[in-house]
Amino acid sequence: MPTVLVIDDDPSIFLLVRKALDGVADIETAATAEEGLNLASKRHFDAVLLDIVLPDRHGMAVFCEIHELDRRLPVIFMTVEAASKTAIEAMQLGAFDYLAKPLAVKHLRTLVSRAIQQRELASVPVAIVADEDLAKDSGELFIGRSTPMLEVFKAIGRVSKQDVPVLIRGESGTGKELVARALYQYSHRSEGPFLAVNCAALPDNLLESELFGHEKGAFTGADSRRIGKFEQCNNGTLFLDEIGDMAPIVQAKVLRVLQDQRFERIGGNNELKTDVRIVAATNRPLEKMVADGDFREDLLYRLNAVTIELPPLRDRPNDIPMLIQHFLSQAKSEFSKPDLEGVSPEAVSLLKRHSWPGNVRQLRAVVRRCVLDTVLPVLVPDLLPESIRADQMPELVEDSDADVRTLPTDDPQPIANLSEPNGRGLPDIVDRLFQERSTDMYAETIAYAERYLLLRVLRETDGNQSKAAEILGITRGKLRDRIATYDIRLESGVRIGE
Amino acid sequence: MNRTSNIKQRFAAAIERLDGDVDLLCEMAAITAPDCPAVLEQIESSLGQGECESAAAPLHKLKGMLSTFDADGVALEIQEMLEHARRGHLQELRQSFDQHQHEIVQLIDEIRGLAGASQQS
Repeated sequence: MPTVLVIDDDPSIFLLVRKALDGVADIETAATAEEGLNLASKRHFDAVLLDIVLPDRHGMAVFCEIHELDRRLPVIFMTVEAASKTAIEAMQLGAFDYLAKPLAVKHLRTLVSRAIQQRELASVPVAIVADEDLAKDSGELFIGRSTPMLEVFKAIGRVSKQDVPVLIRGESGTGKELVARALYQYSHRSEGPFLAVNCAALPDNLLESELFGHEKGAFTGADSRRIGKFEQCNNGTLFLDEIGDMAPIVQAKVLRVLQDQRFERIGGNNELKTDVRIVAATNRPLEKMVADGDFREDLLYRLNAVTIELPPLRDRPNDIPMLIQHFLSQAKSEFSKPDLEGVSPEAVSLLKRHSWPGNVRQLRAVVRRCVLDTVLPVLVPDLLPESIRADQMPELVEDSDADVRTLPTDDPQPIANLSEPNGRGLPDIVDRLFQERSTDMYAETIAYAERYLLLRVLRETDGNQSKAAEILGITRGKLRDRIATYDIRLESGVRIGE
Repeated sequence: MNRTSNIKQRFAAAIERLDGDVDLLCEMAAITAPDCPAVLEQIESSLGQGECESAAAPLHKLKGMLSTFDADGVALEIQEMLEHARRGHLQELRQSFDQHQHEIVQLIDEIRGLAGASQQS
C-alpha cells in the first residue's frame, strides 16, 4: 500500500485524510515542519499533503527541503487561506496541486490517487531524456531520419542551388515553411531577402497589393505608393504559402512574374522587373482545382517543375521519439525547467501511437504544453490530452493512406467527425476541449463552426454551390474543397457522409 | 425532528464535503472542540494587550479549525480579522472581533454539541 505523509498542525485533518484515503494509502502524520522533514528524510513516501502555515516554519520552505530530498515526490499544498498569491507561488515552486480547506473527501481521494499514480509512473527510468544542451547545440533545421524525410532532405539538396520555382506539398503542420527556408538558406540567394506571404490570410485585393504594390490613388484608401513583396524581394526568395487560395486575377499576375519576371504595381503604368525565386506551398489538390477551373493550369505547371512532398507525421512514426526529444529539450530550456528529466515509457508509447492529424506542429504543441503543466521531473501519460490517452489506433501508423475519418467510433472523435452540428453545441464542445486539455482548440472549434455554416448555407441554397459560395463570400473551389474535407453529401438533401 | 436530522440540516455543506459521513464530522468535532476555547483566549489576550500581530497566528488557527464546520461565513469573518491583524489595524480588528464574537462562540458551541453526539454514539 502506498504511504502518504500529512504535515499539518490540525489533528482533525489527520482523521479526515485517513478516512478519505482508506483503501488508497496508509498515512503517516506530522504536526510540525521539523517532524515532517525528519520523516521525509528517513522514510519512503508516495505523496505529501502539506499545510502552508505551520507552527515552526512556512510550508513553502518545507516544500523546498522535501524537493531537495526527492524531486519526484508529489507534494500537495493545503491551506485555509486559499488566495491567488499563495496558489501561484505554490505552483511556481513545483507543487503537484493546491487544495483549499475545508477539504472535500472525494476530491482529496481523487487527487492523492492521481499523485500516487504519477509518482509510480515517474519512478521508472525515462524513455526520452530532456537534454538542454541538445536544444543549444542542434543546428539542424529538420528533425528526422526516416526514409520519407531523407528524401525531402535530398530533394532540398538537389534543387536549392537551382534557380527554379519549387512547389512544396504536404498536410498542415508538416513544416512546409521550414522547407522553404531551407531552400533559401542553401541557395545562391541566401544573402538576399526571404519573405513569406500567406495567400489565404488576405482578401484578394489586399493580396494583390501585398504582392505587387500599388500607386498612390490606385484605389480608395491608397494614400501613398506601396512597394509590394515582389519588389522588396528582389534578388531574394518569396515564399507563397497556401497558393491554392489565390484568386484568379492574382494567379495571372504571379504567372507573368514567373514567366518574364515583370509586373506592374496596381494603378501603375510602368513595367517593373524583379529577380525573385518563388517557392510556393499548398495542402490543397491543385490538379483537381485545375480540373474544376479554380486554379490556372499554366501556373501549376510553372510551379510544380520541382515538387517536394512532405510526409505526414503518421507516415514516419520512427521520427516521433527524436522529435519529442527535440521539442522537450527546447521547452525545458525555454520554460526554465531544470529539474525536467524526460518522458516516461508509457507516455512515449502513447505519443508514438497517436495519428497526429495536426502533424509535427501538433506534436510540438503537445510536448510544450506537457512541459508547462508538469510538476514532476518526468512527463507521464496523465499530462497528455484525453484524445491521445484514449488513442488505440496502431493500425493508422501502418496505413499511409488512412484518413482521420477512419478513426474507430469508440474513440473520442475530433469535432470534425462528430455527428452533424446544430450550432448550439459550441459551448459544450469548448468546455470538453478544455477538459481534454486540447492543444488544437482553435482548429477543432473552427471546424465545428465551419461545418455548421456550410451545411446551413447549402441547405438554404438547396445544394447550389455557386449560390452558396456567393453567400459565403468564398470561391466555388474553396467551397468544394471544404465540402470534400467535411464529407458533406449533396445527393438527396445536404448531409454529412456516413 | 431528531438529533441526526438536525445535524444533517445544520451542517449540510460540511457533510456533503465529507461524502455524507456524519460520524466523521462528529469525530472531527470531538478533536476540534476542546482546543477552541484556548485559541479564542489567545486572540482575546492579544487584543487586550493591543498586540495586533500576535493575534494573527491564533486567528489563522481558529479559521482552520472552524472552516470544516462553517456554513454561515464565520470563516470569512475571521479571514477579515486576520487581514486587519496582519496590517496592524488594531481598531478595525477589535471592532470586527466584537461584532462577530457571538457567531464564533455560537459555532464553537455547535461543534461541541457535535462532539457530544460523537461521544454518545
